[in-house]
Amino acid sequence: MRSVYDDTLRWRPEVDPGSVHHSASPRGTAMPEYVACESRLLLSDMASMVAKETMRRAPGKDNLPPDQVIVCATSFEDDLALSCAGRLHSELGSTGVPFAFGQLQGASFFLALQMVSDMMANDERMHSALIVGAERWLPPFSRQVGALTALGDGAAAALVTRQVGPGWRVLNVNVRTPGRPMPSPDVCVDEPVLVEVIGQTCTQSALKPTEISWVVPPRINTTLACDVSADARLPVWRMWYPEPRDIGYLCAADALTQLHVLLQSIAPTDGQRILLWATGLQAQAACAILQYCGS
Amino acid sequence: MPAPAHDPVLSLSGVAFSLPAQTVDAHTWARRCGFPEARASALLENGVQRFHDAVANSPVALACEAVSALLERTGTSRVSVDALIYTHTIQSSVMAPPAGTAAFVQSRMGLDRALAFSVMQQNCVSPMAAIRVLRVLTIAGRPIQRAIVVCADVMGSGCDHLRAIQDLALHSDGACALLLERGGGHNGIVGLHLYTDGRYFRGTDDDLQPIPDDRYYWSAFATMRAALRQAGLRGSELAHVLPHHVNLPGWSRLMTMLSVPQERLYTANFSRLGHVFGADPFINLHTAPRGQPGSCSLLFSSGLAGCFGAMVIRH
Repeated sequence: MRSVYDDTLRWRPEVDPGSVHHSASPRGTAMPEYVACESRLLLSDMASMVAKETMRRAPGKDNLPPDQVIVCATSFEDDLALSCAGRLHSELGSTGVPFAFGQLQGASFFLALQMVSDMMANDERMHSALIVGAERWLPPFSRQVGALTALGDGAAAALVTRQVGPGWRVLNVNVRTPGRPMPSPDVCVDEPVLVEVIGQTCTQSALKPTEISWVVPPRINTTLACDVSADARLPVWRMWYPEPRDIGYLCAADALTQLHVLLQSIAPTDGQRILLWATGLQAQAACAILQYCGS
Repeated sequence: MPAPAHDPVLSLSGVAFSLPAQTVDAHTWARRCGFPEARASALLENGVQRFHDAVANSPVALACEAVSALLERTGTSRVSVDALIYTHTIQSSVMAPPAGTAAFVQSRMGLDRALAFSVMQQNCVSPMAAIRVLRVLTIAGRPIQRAIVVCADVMGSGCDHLRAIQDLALHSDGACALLLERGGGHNGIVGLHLYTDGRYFRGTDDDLQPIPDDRYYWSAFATMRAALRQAGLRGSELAHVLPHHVNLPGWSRLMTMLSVPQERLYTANFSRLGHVFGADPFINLHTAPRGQPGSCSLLFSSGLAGCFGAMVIRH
């Protein structure tokens, strides 16, 4: 396995490992101080646990399996031929063909959410989809991402359903992957594009940034989270950013984790809105707005 | 020939592929892996002669070569590409995460407007799964007129002995790029069906050998039949069946099950290219004699982890 991992390191173009491109001040002090490290469970073990727990907690008595499973991941499964999406499909008994989105890091969940929304709009037989994000970083891959952040292990899941009753409605989702002038694996966060995508999502939802009840940035770097939210004229005092230094950045599982923790701690009222935004590590940008419908 | 049931949402407008120059024959491979000569003989009896060997060099470089060739051959403007999907069978056929392989290919190819990401975990069916993702996004009205799907895989260092699928195939390193365009141009996609047998999600056993599938023929047949039904076709109406390069003897049985005359199975690349992961049926589409306008061909892939995919295109 190690030789295969070494190949992937060799295939990266030569680059300064500490190089991070962004348009604001240094962020070293705003990085996570500790990261969650999973020593025992495989990536798909963690994904399986959160998937089963999410299905167990799902409202409704019939406990039907999800129609579709989509996995979001960036890191490798230690069992090299195992399909995490296939495993969840098998364990949950989902009907649709399982697959995974990759290469978008923190923006993966947003593309999955967009995909699920489109699938439900196109196919009235599709009633539910489970989106699962999971990451586990093993040597020789570094957890340190330049001076921007440090990567932690973890998994989270969300069940998206076609329902009329109380719940969070997906108003709009946008994902953008701006082309970069130079082919480089350097970490790059494009703040102007992030601000643009956040503005576009608000506009499509016919909302002013100040009408957002909770702003949920990626738990990647405190300074970045504050800068982008402020530049997008979002109400930063409504920013959900708990204990930013204790688990590290969960990458493809980050937005799902943030959303899960937020939903555990609030009692929303009709019409309240959550805005989530995320960045990938190659300037990918994503934003989604959810609105609570109490009846 | 009855008209296809549905107007195509997407067309497969172009194909280009890139294979490493070095080829290795079955006997040489068996010798260098320390296998008995009988192993090579068994492969040869099943129509497996050789494979292309990248010597563990980058699959991403092969992907870029394939995309570049596709853009050149089709005369596609780089700024007109709205989506780029990178797919792979082996999860490590990417640059070390969190480096972005899709972003790298996008940047290197100048596809600045494209939404770049990857679809994975459908193994050799991932290119078809990516086409399905594109189809959903297109039907939903996303602004996608033109997209590229590229699949790329290389057997990693120390994995040469794992190239064989029993005695039925030898994996070949390579990449293949597909140009998908909205609407029903030539090679309109009129059927696309995927199936996953969840029992095989692990893919390989403790010795990293593929787990035999006791329902392989039925799953393969049922997947192809479903795609044909979507297209409103009978097997006997197909111009070509464009297979993956695995289990050539078994294809005879599948052709009988599908009621397709055996001579319509396109096998010209089977022995000389090896099993280029998810690329096989698309390479075959590119090199097979062009079907008469209005005729249809069936593409098929299956992969580790119980993945099956079939696609019908109208020429």
